[in-house]
Amino acid sequence: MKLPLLLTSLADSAAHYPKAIALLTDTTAWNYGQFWSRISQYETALATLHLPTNVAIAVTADKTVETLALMLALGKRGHTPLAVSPGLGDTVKPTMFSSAGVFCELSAESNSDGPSIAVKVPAAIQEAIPSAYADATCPLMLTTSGSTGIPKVVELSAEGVNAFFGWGAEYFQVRRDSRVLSYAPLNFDLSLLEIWTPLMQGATVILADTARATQSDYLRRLVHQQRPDLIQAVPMFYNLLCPAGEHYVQVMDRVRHVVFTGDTTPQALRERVAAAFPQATFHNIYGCTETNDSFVYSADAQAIVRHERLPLGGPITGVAYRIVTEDGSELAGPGEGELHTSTPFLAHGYTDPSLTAKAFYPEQDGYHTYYRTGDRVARDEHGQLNLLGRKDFIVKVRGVRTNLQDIEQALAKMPIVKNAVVIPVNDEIAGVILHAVVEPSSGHSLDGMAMRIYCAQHLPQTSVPRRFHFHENPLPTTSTGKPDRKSLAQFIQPQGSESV
Amino acid sequence: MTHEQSIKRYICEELAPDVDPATLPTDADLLGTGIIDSLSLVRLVAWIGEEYDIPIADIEIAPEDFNSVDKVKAFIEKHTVSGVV
Repeated sequence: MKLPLLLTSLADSAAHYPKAIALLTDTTAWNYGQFWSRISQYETALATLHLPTNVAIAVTADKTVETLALMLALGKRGHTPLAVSPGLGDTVKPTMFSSAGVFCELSAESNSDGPSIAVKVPAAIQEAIPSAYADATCPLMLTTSGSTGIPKVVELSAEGVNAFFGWGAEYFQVRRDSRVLSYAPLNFDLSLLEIWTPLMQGATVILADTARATQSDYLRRLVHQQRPDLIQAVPMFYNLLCPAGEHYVQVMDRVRHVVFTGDTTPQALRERVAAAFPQATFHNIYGCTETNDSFVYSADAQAIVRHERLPLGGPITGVAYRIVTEDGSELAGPGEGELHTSTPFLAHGYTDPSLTAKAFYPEQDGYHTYYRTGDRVARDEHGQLNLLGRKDFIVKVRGVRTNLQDIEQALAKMPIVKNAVVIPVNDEIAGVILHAVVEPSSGHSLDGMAMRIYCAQHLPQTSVPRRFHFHENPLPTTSTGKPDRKSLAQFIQPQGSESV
Repeated sequence: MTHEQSIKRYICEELAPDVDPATLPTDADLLGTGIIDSLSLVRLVAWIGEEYDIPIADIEIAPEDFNSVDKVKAFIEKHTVSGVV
């Protein structure tokens, strides 16, 4: 992390509060003094690698203290880390690294002699041009899923990250005595609030063990024992923490802030979470890697369960937005359109300038830069915004606008369904035919007729998938954990027809 | 094979491979459950004409006559001489 303010703050915490706990893992507590010392050790180890100066370097984003120390040491030496998912396939790395001017990937390791660094150079990376990124002050690069299957590399901006740290610390009252749970993978933008903001404030970060991140018992024990006061997570985490069908939900009253993010949090789940954290304030946050958090809806335990769907809430201080209709004009009153946002936390862009040019545009006054989110929103007559879903996920079926994610959410409510993805497939005659790929819940077998009857009861007729495909194994996901729709499209159509 | 079995087999093999014929209720709404739509209705009607030697072109077709296995069966029985093929 190449951010002078963060490095200064860490040095300050290490000097003045060396015994304060910076990071908690399941087995170890690292105080700020130890952590700063570890960063220095990695700095020394980096010096022996003789890396070109001021280039971006990929880091295998295993969520460990060692990796965090390595990322900060890279920053101290003037390198921008590109956080790469440990599960990212080797086949996409050459293209992705080349576009980011990255020629090697480092992994932090430790042994009895202290820290060590493993260096990997993808075989086909020779064409990478070090220092190809545009913003030399870029503190961190993250990836976001791209439509081509190659993740896009986002260059965060120093002023954007600093502004976000300020907002996050103030809004969620992150102070030196705070304890923040980090559940998301380190390469996700959520780490800016979960890890880097508390470290900036001298607070304590509780690192959830990635290997046990889907174990309900582990997560419950973690929350009970480590007692975070801020939790931010995707709905899956809360489903694991507060499973359906339990008659007793343990009250976890130290938690002051519960943040829902990344996906729609169903009402039934919110009811269980609100029962588990009765004293907390709940937040529904909307944002993208490119803009960071943009909208927030905050409510107490009573109010958060009232909505069938949570509203987007209001723009965060300093955020400007516009809703753009299909004809390219800005929506003035109620209606639907694509959300464009300009936030104080805006990224510099992608490492590929052509992608930046497509997604970002400057306002005519030259003051704001807007980002096309690709999300459709609706504004009602009271000015309240609701997220309709990805623009890419809205298709026309027999002339009817149909949101694929609405269908997926309806299917996912069936107890026999663990995951469902709906793929629109072009048909010469029908236009578009919807296929559903469904993974059964553990111990259940799927019955197409039961699913069809359920859909007929809960969805408009045009939204009922024409074809159901059963996928006994977990549905494939992308490097960012989202359903791999391209791979699923191949699974359903071996004959060579094309998905939309 | 009875008409019912034959109709169910065609629907489950050709139009909705995810449905087990044993779980297809004879009164299920085939349009509402996405098993057939206006396009696959044409295929279903063509199959009925061929399979049961019914002069489809001479008969006025109404989609509601095909909206369940029971209705398809009734259509076939109405338009074949003895109702048994």
